Amino acid sequence: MLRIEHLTKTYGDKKAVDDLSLHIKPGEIYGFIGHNGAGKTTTIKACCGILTPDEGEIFVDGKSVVKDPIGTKKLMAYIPDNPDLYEFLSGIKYLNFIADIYGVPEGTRDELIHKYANIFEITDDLAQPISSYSHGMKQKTAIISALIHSPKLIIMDEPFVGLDPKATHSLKLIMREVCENGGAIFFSTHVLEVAEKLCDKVAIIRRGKLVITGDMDSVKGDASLEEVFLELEEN
Amino acid sequence: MDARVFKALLRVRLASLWTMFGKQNDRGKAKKILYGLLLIYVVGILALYFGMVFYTICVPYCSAGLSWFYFGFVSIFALVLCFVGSIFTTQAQIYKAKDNDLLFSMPIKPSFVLMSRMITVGALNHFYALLVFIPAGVVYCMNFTPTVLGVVIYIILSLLLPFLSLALSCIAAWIIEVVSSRTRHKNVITIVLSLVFMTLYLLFVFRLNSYLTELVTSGASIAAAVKKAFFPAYYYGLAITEHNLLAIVISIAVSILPFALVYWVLSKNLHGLVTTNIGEKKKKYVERKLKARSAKAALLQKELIRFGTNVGYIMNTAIGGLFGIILCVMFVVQRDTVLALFGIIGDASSLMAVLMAAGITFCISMNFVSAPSISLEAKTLWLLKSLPVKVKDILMSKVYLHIIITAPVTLICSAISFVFLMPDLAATGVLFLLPQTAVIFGGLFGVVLNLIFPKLDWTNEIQAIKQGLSSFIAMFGGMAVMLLLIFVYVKLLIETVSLVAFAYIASLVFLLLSAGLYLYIVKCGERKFNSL
Repeated sequence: MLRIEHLTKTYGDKKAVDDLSLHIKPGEIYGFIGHNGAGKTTTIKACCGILTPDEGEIFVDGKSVVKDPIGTKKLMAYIPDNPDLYEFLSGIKYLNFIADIYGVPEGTRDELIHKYANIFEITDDLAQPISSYSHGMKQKTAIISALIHSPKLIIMDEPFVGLDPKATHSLKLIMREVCENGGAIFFSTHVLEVAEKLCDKVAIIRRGKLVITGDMDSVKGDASLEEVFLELEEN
Repeated sequence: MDARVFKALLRVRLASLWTMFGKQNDRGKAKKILYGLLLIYVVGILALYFGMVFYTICVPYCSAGLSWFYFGFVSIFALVLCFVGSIFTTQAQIYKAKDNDLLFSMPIKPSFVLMSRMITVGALNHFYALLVFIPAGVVYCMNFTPTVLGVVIYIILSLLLPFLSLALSCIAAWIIEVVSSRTRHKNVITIVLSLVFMTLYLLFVFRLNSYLTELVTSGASIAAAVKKAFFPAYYYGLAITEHNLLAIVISIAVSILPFALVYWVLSKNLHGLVTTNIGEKKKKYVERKLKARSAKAALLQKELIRFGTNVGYIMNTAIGGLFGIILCVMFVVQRDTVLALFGIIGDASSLMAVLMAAGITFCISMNFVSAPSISLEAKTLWLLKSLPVKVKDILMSKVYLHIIITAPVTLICSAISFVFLMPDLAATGVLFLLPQTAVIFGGLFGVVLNLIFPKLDWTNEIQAIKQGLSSFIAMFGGMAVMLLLIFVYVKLLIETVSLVAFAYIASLVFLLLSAGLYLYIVKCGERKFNSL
């Protein structure tokens, strides 16, 4: 579903991502872990077509993100670490805007918006302007906007930040549901316990380079993911 | 401890005020010089303008033994300018400051927080006051010889008067804050109030000469009325001219006591005032069928909502339409006189139609709706970049916004002119074509400028709208093109090409320039946009 091949991205003289390769298959939840400034967000933004790679290629469902940005963006959804949405729109207008952009049919958008708004318990607030939303409500709106066009691939940067426990639980269930339906999820997180329980595969990045990647069980062995991560960081 | 805390607070507030006026640390030297020169120019023009007003009334009044009225008039003038100039800053700095939660969670007295905010707004009031008091004083000294005591009293009272304005603006800003936070239609109210202020201001400017004449010819009766209705102004003038002790005490008391009272009341209630949610009633969402649109239509609607919900955006970038309407109304009022004047030259209606087309084009060139539209995306650029839409469609939605906002007003202006002129067919074509081609050019020009000169580091949207280089160039660039065309015609072609024919050529120039800008958006827009 998502294939990253030898991705390199440089800011000035600093290599934010250095020759990184990953392959996320349909049905997989893939965790992406690293300390602050390790290169996670740069990698994620390159996958979404927000940043252009200096070297390497990224493919979504076999299509190149660089060569066919519109085609690949139609297949995926991106949830950023800080949900800066259009504050002048109400929640419902924002979601309808996203549905328009992705060409979601009227009946389907009604059904999906109300389904996910009920799950995340923000239905009553949809008429309010986003400027009046809390961080968690903006995050929920961003998540709903990612789900309403039924993407094959969802890329998320710290998706659980700001969510209440119930919404966190709901998101985990939805992530699993997306993968069971043949989709794939690639997300970064600092909450290692969540990654350990939720992810099928994990990749750890350090100073722009991939340190380790593979099935969760093979990466952590008998130890916890936290212990593995800290050990890799110290070495 | 207290002094250190207060100094730290004051530094933060002054930095905030400084930033509001466009000071950016990362600005290049050339830009700093440009902004410095612009500031000097604006201050110089205002001081000169006020000086001319005072010059007109200084000698007649002071020679007639009504010197107190001259200074009383100056004090009222300064008070109004300070009040109008600082009211929204007072609202933003005192009641809507974004650091309320932070400061009230710290061991700082609310009175310190308030004083630090009042000092910064007070500095702004003093700036406005000096714009009036310095030219007024200079004009007086040019015509009369003041006493040393008079000068000292003038300086003291000039420095104290802004405190009265500060007290009044604190009260008015609080009322605006309470009213606007209780209504869903705050944008409409603000726009209507702003338009009323703007219209009153324009009327005042247009009629200034007749007001001044009235002031000069009916001096004694006006002075008597002021003495009765605005007695503090009388005592203010008396304090400076007669050095009357009672008048000095009253003038100082009128300046200081309201400020002290407002400060005392606010310092006791600031915490409650800024943290109590008195906002509008929450609107509950009612499920309804959602309507689908194309991606292009969705992008355009997003732009329209952004524009319609941002008073600063409307008032700063679309004011050219108002000027166009005022131009047409002025023409309608003066129609017979103007037509009689141009009747001497030839076909007055057709000639006037072309000149009106040029006037409308010049006015609507002041609209620069698309020029800050990319800068306004800033933190939401990620969203547009991650959506499956062509960059060209994103950029053109901003061009269409400019056209949708500007074209109808332009069309109304052309229609008014047409109805009251009834020109021949060729001139009618110019009346409608020239302004509309300029509208298209303006929309494309703004987007291209904003691609080249984006301002994405703003903390307040108004900075992106007013202080971006693209806005500045777009506003003056459109007018410059128009002036250049007029210059070319008058200097080179007036003998060989008729005015109507040249107006068609000018329309063609706008269309060709528009085609060039459109090609730039198609060919280079994506690269420039993705590099933001």
